[in-house]
Amino acid sequence: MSERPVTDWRELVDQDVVRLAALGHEAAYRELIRRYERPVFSLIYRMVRDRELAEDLAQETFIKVLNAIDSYRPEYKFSSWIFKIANNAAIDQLRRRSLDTLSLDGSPHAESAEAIEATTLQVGDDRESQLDEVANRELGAMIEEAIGQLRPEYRNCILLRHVEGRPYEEIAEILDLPLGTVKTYIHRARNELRILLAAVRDE
Amino acid sequence: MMTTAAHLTTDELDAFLEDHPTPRATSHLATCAECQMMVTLDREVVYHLGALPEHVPSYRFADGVMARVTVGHPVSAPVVVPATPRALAARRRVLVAGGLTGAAVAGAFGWAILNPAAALGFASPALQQGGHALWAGMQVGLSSAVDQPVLAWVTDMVAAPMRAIPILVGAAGAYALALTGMRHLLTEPAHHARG
Repeated sequence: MSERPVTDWRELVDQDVVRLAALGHEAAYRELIRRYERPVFSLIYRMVRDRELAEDLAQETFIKVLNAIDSYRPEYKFSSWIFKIANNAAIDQLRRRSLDTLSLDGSPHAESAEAIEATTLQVGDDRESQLDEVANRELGAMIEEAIGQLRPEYRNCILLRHVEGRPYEEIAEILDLPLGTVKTYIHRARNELRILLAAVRDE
Repeated sequence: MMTTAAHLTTDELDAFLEDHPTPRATSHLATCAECQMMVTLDREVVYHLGALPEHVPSYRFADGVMARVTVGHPVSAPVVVPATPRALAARRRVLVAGGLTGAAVAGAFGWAILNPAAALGFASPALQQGGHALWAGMQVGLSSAVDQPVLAWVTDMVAAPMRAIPILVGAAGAYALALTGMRHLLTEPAHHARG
């Protein structure tokens, strides 16, 4: 089969880049990192709500994936594989730390007052003050914060669907969940966000 | 506005988000204020989710990963990727078109050399005269040039073609070197993995 030198990595599909990485081309590893560092880091960060921890987990994700690049099966999407590992890393972390409940007090990793404030989530108990606060913010920031209040299983579903733009079938593959469950989680998550948005609009 | 029809199902709400609602959902939405509000809010939520900015890891991220990754079998050869079927087809088309054009031009020349009278017959009388004069001039020029002592090596080479081989090989080598050099100069910088 005829071959051509790589002049522009962007024209290669993930499968080709993975194949080149498996052949030992270091530049191909770099290209995979370049393609996925932001979406993977964003997903993990929005799950664990702690920048430092998210960076550690994202690095672990890449290290795990790139060190096992030989075992990649091209019949699956590379994105599904890396998101699955990223999601598992985030969920494991949430389980270990029960972050979704601890988040009231900010990240346990936070070492300064600013870090504690930055990682603290507002929850529904103090709804009035919460709404007062969000009224002065951008709607996008409010949605971002609201995502942090969702149950982790809703959170990863809605992030993959509406932030990363993954189809339902791929999300089911990433999360090892039946398609119907994925749809239900996404609808419930959207329902919660809708209620929040309606409340903000009524203010 | 009140309606008795069943409210939109979750699948129907999804269909609205993907802009292909069912006729039932569309007709229901026209009469149901509650579902209208739901669809509007859903669209707004999805819009804001899609517009959320990407979070960016620190600039050391990639280096941190690469420091802990074992790159398989190091390869120093240039990175190549199998050509896609589309690229192969394009290359084949260019080769076929080039071959056909070359064959047509060579055929035309061959025919014109073998049939000079007929070839000149296509041209106007003035051009014919000019062509004859040019051809006669070339013949005279070539014969007198070959007789010059400075071009004795050309005559020798025609007499003994084997002598031409080293010269032709040398010329081809120089041409290939020049091409390689030009290609090197014109290639985009490689993606350096480290540093």
